[in-house]
Amino acid sequence: MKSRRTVDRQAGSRRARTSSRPDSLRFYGDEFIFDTGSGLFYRVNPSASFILRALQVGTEPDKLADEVQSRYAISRSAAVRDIELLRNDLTSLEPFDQVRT
Amino acid sequence: MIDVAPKKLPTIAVSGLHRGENPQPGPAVTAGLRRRFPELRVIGLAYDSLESGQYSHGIDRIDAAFLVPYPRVGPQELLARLDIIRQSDPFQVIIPCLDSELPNYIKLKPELAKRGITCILPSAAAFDGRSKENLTALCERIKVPVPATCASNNVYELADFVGRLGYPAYIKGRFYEARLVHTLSDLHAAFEDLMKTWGGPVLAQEITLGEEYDIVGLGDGKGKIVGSCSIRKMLRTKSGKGFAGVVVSDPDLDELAARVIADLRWDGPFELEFIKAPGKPHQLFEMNPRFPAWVDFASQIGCNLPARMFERIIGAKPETLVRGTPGQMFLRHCIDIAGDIADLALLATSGQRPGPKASNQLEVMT
Repeated sequence: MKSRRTVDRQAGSRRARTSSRPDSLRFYGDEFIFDTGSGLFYRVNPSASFILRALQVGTEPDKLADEVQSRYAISRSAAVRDIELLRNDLTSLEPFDQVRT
Repeated sequence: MIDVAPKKLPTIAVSGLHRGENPQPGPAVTAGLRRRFPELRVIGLAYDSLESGQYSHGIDRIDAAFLVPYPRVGPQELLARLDIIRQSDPFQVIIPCLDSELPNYIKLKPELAKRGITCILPSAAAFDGRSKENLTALCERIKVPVPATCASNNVYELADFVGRLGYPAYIKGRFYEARLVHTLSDLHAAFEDLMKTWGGPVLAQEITLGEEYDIVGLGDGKGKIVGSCSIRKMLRTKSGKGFAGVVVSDPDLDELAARVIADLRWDGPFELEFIKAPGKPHQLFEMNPRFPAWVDFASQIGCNLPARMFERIIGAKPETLVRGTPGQMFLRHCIDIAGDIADLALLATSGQRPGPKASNQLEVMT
């Protein structure tokens, strides 16, 4: 699973808003996310999409690591690391603020 | 509720007909009206025989075109011309679509009413309250964030303001145009140009880098918004015109818009333009006193504000307005309209001509 550069913002867009609601992210397949509040959209890879969907519905970090480990057949430490790396990537993207924790 | 049978509908006069590089709203307003009232008669009030909307055959076509004097000539000359037009082609409603026209129409409202012509307009106080030079004071009073702005007739005052703010900055005309200036000499050149074209004051404004959000809406004149549609501009031209947009749903943005419209008790169409820098709230940088050029996008997705305004004028039962679903989007697509030089000749020499016949050439526009 590749965690670095998992989220590519659309050309020309910068960070979005702080007030996005957790339910404001809309997923189109596994590689495209639209934030209904800010109107910004993002290309993501399928594993990032999987983690974001789980975070959006409030999956606990421990359980999420289990799910990632199981889905991608990787070690638990690799799963935890990948989730953390993705969350770090998200800190610069306001629409995802609400789903980071 | 009055009967809205086609033959009984009043004729509407619409201005702002050019859909060029800086598209004007008139054809989009006409298209919205025709989506609700297909048999409506619309006449165009143009300033130039090359305004493109006069030659359209599609849903945004006009039934006749008339040249009118430029706004700077003043209200009495406009009224005299409208009286002449009425003799050959009576109309009962005017929808002005250009910022610079509004002062004349606001002054003429009582005279137009005497002639049985309805024109939904903001009060003079509301119009002035949202003007570029007064917007900062309005926003500070009602606690709506706004970029730092200075309005002045004195270039040295603007230079001093930008000197403290730091370059680059925007220098803006009273009605239209914004120039990005990087140096003091740029600022002087922009000031001279804009003062010459639009008169004073000229504005200097801080640059906020971020996403641009626009709201088209209709005020009821009592402080409420009858309907609105919010978008993020996805494509912007060099001059900042939106050539693509996507519907957003943001309660924070709606709240700011409601505050502005309530304070001004705005009557009629408006466009609010916001910029949002990362991590900061939306800043209102302009309020336009008319429908925007993209208003027909809103009409196409169920928020037909020109039709709603016309329903109010004729007392028709209003159709339900839909706000638009986040993710619905538009892209502006320019087309070539075929015409004949004879049409231009007639308009240029007589100041009027019948509109082209309807076709299905252009059914969708934004």
